[in-house]
Amino acid sequence: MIRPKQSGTQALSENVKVSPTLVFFLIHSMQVGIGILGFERYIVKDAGYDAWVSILIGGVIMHILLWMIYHILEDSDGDLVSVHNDIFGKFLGGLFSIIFSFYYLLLTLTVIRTFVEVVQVWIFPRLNVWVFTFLFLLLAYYFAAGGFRIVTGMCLFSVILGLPILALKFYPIQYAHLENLFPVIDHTLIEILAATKTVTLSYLGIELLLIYYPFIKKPVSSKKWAHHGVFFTTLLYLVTALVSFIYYSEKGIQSVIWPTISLWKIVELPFVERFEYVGIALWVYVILPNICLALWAASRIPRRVFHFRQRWVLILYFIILYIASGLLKDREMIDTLNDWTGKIGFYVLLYIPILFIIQKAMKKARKRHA
Amino acid sequence: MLKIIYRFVPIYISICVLAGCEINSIEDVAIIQIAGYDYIDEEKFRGTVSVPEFSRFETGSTTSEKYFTATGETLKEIHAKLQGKSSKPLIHGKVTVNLYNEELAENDISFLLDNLLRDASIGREVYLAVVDGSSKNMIETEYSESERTARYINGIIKNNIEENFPTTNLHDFSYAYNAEGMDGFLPLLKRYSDHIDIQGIAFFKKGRFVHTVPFSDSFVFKIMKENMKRGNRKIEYENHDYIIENIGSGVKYHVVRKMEDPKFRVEINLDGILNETTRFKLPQDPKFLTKLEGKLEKDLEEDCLNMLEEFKEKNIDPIGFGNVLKSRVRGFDYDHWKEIYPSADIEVDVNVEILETGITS
Repeated sequence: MIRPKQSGTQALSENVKVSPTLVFFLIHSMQVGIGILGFERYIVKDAGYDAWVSILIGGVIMHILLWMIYHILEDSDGDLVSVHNDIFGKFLGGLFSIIFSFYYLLLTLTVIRTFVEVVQVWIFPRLNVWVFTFLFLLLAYYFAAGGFRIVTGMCLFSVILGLPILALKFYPIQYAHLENLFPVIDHTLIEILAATKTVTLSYLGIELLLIYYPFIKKPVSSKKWAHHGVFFTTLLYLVTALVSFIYYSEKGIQSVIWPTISLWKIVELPFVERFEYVGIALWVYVILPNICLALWAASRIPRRVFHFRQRWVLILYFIILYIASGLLKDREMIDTLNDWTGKIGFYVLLYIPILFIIQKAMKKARKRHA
Repeated sequence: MLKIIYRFVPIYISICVLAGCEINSIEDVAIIQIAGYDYIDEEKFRGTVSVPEFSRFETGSTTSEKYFTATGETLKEIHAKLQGKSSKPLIHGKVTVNLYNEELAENDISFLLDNLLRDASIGREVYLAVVDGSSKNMIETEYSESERTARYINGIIKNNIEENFPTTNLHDFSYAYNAEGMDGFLPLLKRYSDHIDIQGIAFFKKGRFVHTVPFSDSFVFKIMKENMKRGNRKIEYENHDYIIENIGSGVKYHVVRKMEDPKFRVEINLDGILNETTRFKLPQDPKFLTKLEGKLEKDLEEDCLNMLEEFKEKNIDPIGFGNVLKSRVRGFDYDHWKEIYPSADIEVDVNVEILETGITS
């Protein structure tokens, strides 16, 4: 029995697709966001200064998951919605897809609210959250409504604008206490794996490929670029963590909420005395594609499932995001939000191998019955 | 729809960009450049800040300083009282020096450190110092007509860090404060009628000032603590004095025996040039420089050991031997280390090489 394909993606014309090279930027810019400013503190809790091993292990896991995602998508030749429909049927599959939509929405909310918190703590303590998030969301809406190609362009911009900030790692290196990293691997495997679980949250973002896969021209040749993107992210996290580790003492880093922003404090340029203000302002470009891409993906799913117009879904999500981020008031609530997003994200990543196995099993079964 | 969006974009951009302009100009705010705290009794302490005042006259503009003092039980209380005395909002973001008087430092400055690290507007390269006497008097004295007090004190510390004084700032102090097996230190300043002197190094046990070493010995401490490129040291040899200028010294810590009965070897390699002597000409003896090197090595080793002995007696570890041991052994037990540190065996091994003797023989 051969079922008719339900993907419905063949309708996508060439002029809405992006070239495979850009997948590098899509993957990398979605992975790097607000988390990199403060992830060190959380991974150190479990594995101390051996946590850099966890970063490497996490990177390897991401490569494996990415490989699975490509397999899942290649086999169905569609996106997540068509995979779900294929496997679970229209109703259950549709339900699972909608859950994913909400998950992407949650990602967007977390990024926006956490960034607004950074602005509140570091620059404007009396910032009116309602006004600021409205303007910010309007900007995100503008890009997301522009379609996938616009969002991709935003990702490209973000990576290029974010790169020069890396050069500033030179300043903390002058204060390096290299002995902090020794002895290498003084923690048990369990502790290192616990930190790996924490660090995977910083790697979230590859699962959006499940949605924008049909928008890639010659998807097979994009594989290489996607893996390069994940590798680059791993490298970036490794460098960031190592620099923070040699700058702060192990006990000290646990009391610093945003180690990377605190590091910018020691940057001294002749024309700007306090670099963290510039850094935080530049970071808007780093998180904007996070928000745009996640918002776009979140609104794409209902369109595929219910055939709504994407713009109406966007507007609905805009309102949900606006109200939710305004209602989240203090550090504690935002911390809880991040915690929850992390947990849910972990299960989403865990879901990918399950989906992979089910699909492979079904394919085999169908072949046998054919 | 698209048209509306396009029409909206310029307005949107201008809102975003112009919202960054605040009306505060430098004349409208009082920028605190130096703050000092003095001990009053167990609960209260006194804070003094100095802010520059800019005034314009027909002949030109001048800057003078204005001082505010308040007492209270918490820092916020003091800040509120100080704010009450000022006609312009006091801004902390540009503080470059924080002073604590000796008595306050002896009673723990942890809570003041916490405030400095918590405040997002304060940098990590602020200088902290302990004052012998009252920090209020130190701040309120005018030392120079052309230089403001904050800049003057800042200059003294900065200048000496490049020479004989070990590197110190808020970051270094808080690093040591938080590290396992390392204690911090700050410069100890004293005010004279028209100038300020660095008296020595004030050593801390966590947030408490417990020990001091005179300024003349800071070279000895510095060569044990960090690699340095400057500084100089006198040698007395056969009734004459020789000054050796350090042009590059490096220090390495070796762990000879590990956890149970730790033993350390501090290896110091120093390259120097001889640049002053009280005996007009150097003797023709070809082995003379080697002998001089030997004498300096012996002197330095002795001084280092004496200093380390004092540290152990006071149970402080400003070099950070605990931190060294932690990085060399697996399963470092900090509590155990705290107990055995005073009896730890430390050896100092100095190698001096005198490379040149100037342009006369």
